[in-house]
Amino acid sequence: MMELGEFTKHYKEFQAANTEIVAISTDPVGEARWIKEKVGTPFPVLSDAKRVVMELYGTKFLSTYQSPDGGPYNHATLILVDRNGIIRWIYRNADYRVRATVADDLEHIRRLHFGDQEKAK
Amino acid sequence: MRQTLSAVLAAVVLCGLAMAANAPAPDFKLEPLGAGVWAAIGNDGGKAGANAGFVVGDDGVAVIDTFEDPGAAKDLLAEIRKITPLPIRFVINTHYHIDHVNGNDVFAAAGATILAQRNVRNWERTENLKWWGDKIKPEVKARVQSLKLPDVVYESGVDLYLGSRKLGVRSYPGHTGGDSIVYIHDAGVVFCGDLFWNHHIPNLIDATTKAWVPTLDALMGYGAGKFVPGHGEPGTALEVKAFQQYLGDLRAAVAQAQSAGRSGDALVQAVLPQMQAKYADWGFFKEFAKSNIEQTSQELAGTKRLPKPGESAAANKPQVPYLPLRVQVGEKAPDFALPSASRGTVRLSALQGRAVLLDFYEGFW
Repeated sequence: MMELGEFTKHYKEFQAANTEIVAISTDPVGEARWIKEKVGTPFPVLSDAKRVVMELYGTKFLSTYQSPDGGPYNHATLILVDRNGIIRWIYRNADYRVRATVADDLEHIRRLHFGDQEKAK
Repeated sequence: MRQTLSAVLAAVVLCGLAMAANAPAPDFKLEPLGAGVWAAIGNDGGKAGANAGFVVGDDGVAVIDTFEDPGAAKDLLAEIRKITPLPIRFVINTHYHIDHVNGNDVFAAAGATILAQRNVRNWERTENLKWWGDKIKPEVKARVQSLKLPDVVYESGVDLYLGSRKLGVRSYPGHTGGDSIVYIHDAGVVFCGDLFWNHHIPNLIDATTKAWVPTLDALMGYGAGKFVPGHGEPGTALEVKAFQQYLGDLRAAVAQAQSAGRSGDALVQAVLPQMQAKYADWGFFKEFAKSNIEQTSQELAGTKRLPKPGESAAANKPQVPYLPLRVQVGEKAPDFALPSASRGTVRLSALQGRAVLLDFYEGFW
């Protein structure tokens, strides 16, 4: 329960930085619901069982591991989108178990807001 | 006569049993070569793409080569699991060609340590791109560049022990410059990889036939009863000799045509009928006979391009097991709507006004 758990624990800090977290996996809705309840995430957990968003963003994992439905998994990826819908930061690691820390995530979010303030001046 | 008849009947019965046992794995068939020694013989043109094999020892299993397709490698793992619950401890890659290494990750995930001659690690993610040329699809390129590499490399060989069972791994020149054989001492079996093609025309793209001919003398020198080729059925020293004869015939015919002043297409046209007369019934004749002549001609003329030994940067880059993203920093995030675990549908654009951190995750990781 690593990343979703971390995000849940620090959710208030993300809210304070005016940022919503949206979790996406290839799990069917039922499975996503089970994980949401198990972890207790206060943010949306979405089901991309048809791999529409995986195709749109290109997050496909090339491992030979297959999900229970026989389809591919996502490679763990974080994409930070600013309030105007522009992608501002992407995090991936060749080892899917290595994640950015919450401190890193918040640092990037703060830089983004700082950028907004600079533009506003 | 009666003996002959019973031998035929026994063969029919055994054949029937073998077919029944192998029904779920149509891309290769398992052949027992001795106690706990199995060859996995791939069908020409099938998903497996080549032969593999495995040895069951006292305390674990060693696998020789991992096929061209991870699905076929999974089938092989499943077949091994039907035979023994012992851990898969080692995989030996006989050389870097993709039809012998593409299932490495399947066995690594099962806990195996992968071993190969040093050059396999250097060439696996780079030289394997050449099979597709410039038109390689991004998915295929990404797969090749993330192939699971050997964890342990050696220069000339290493001895492995599965309890009391000894496997002698030795490297020999000829086929790529980074090939190994695996000798199962107590069974008298040599897994030759692509240093031996039984009744099949070899792939000479990386070959030095001059070094290969004496390598085959060394293999026959093991005095083994069974030689498992990289392609074709297991054979004996007689078939290894026949393969050596092929390389000798090819070298002699090409050298003769060159000394008669022929080159290019004229040389191919002069040599091909001679090879056809003797080897037309060998597997892959259509696929490789012509390129064998061209490549041997380059070798004898000293113009052949061979993979270079040495540290390759690609081998030391971290594995990148994912496709390049279709989005990048500075671009508009493509909008989407997906069913939510808790409340209907969530649309990205409906969250505007706030920043959004999209987290693509799987399971609890």
